[in-house]
Amino acid sequence: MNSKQAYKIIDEGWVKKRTGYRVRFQRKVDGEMVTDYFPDMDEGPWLSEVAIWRMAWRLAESRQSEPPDINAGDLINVTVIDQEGNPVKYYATNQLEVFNQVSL
Amino acid sequence: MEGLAASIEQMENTMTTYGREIVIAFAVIVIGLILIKWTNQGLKKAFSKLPISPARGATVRNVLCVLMLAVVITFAAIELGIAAAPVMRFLSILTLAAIGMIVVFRPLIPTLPFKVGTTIMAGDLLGKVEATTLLNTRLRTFDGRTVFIPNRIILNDVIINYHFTPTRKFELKINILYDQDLMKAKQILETIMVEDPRVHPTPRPVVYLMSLNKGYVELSGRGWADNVKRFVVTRELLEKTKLRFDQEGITMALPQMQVHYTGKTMPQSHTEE
Repeated sequence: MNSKQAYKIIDEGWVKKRTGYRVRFQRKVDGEMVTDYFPDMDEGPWLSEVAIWRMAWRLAESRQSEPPDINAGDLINVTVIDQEGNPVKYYATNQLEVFNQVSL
Repeated sequence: MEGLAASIEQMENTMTTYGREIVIAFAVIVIGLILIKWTNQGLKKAFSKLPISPARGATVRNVLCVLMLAVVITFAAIELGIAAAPVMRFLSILTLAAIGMIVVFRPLIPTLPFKVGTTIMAGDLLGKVEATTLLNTRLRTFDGRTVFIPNRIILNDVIINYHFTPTRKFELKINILYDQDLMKAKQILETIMVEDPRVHPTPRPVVYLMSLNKGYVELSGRGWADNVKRFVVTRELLEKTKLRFDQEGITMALPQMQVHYTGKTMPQSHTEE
């Protein structure tokens, strides 16, 4: 095995390099819960994990709901996902984190 | 007095004979210059909305203005009664001579080591170049100041151009205590660098043990990032490292000194009276 093959194995099997992040959240539109993203899916993702989590927190703080009532405009189940749509662990706690978590 | 009277008479004769042509030629030049100025301003506005660099836009505008000026001069010359062909020939020779001079002497002309829009460090000033003129360079520092630096100072000083190379190495200096898990700390630091999308995969990020100092072990994580993103990337990686170390129970070192008390009393000669 040469170094190129060795590094290929490492890249595929070890720590994955992320390609970008988005905030995923839910909100009520016309009485129905819809899932939305920031930035929009037709825009490029953010590359900063720190900045996207800060954005998620700000969004959640700005539109808090008071369960079980979810009003129009409330942003619930706010979390960060990667480009593949998988939830990303919050770097501050190394745990999956959901702001304004509401069970639907 | 006679000489002056003769000159006035000669001028009167000239104006009588060619006055109309001179006035029209003068009007052509004035109107032409106004049109060139309007065109230049219009193009500047239009280019600001297009995705082209300010420097390239300025070059295109300058070339168009010079061509328009040549046309205006030709028209004025024709109005004066001069045949168009010699004027065109003269302008062509002038243009070719100018191009030749530029080609020959350009390597000898001192040029500024940056373009408009680049981020530079000149002396202790860090900022973005907003404009350059023949005499000075206008720099917008990141704290919002506008600084005019004479070009002679720039040409004599060390300038760091942060756009000249697209990537740059960054370094994360982390100090941990001697009793901490060194391998775990190295692993965490490397993982944080590898997973960040802004850290380039090649050259690969590496972690070195830099030195064994008084009271702490010095680690250095090194990787490469885009030059313009390097500042933010480094700060965010430091933040993530601090938090991940906290989660993993690795204690970072603070400036400290360990004093070991052996219980022995000091010799009499060293004690205070």
